[in-house]
Amino acid sequence: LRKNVEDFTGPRERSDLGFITFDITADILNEKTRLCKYNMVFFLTHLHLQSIFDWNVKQLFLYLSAEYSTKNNALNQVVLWDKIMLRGDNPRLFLKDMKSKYFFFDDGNGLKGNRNITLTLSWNVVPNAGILPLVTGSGHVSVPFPDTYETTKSY
Amino acid sequence: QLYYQVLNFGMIVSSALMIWKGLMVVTGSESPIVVVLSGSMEPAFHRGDLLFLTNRIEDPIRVGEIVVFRIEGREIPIVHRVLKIHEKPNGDIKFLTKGDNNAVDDRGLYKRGQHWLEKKDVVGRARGFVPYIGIVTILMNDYPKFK
Repeated sequence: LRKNVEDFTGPRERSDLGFITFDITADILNEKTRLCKYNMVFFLTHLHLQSIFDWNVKQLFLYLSAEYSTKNNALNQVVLWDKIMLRGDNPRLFLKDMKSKYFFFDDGNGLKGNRNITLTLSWNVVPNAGILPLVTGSGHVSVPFPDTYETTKSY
Repeated sequence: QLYYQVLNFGMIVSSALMIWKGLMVVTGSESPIVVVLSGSMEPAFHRGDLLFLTNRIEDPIRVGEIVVFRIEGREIPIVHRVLKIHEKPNGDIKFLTKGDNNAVDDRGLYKRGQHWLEKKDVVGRARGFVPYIGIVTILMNDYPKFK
């Protein structure tokens, strides 16, 4: 479900606000990430890495980010959802119909008619001690926004 | 004998200083090591953890990264994660941060009227960490007599 509503917040200017609901299936232990878009085609990929929760991993910080370009800005990245997965938590995620945790505001009006918003799932590996790497899952989904604004007030 | 000990001590201090300055050059940051002061990034980092930073200009700021920044006019560095970025074609970037353990983003912490952070506010990017070691610095701040 994608709407595109003209709205304003903090910066007190009218900026595009996008709404996306999504499903996430992530099998972090076996490195399979699958982002399904409601009513869109399945996108399945496998990542063949070692099991990620090794002896030095305290937690993973997972985040779903939307990346796109607009007239105003060459690159925009917005985190829509995040989750902390602690060592010992179930490494298999099967989340359906998730709403984004954070408002998907653009800096300006670049979501209207934007055909190419890429959603990617990434994670930050937090060790017990040592380096903090950022890893990007290889499954990603492209989402187009409609050309018109939704005029209803409901979410 | 005493002369030797003094010289020895002097060598150690100046080596430590050289390593510190060397780290500053290599990492590009004026503060390559930072102590976590608050619980806003729990459970990843706790008060007293030590973070190693780099601040290379060529490294682009991207969401998900942990940045250490200072708000204009304030001394205390804050360690939070990048939530949103908007980058112009010429490389100018404005971004928003949020602590993992906070319910809301950092707009409330920024200066009055400031809605975004910029490259100039960044002290460095957290690349590695060691837990607990920084407790000494916190103790020294909280109990000045300890110094």
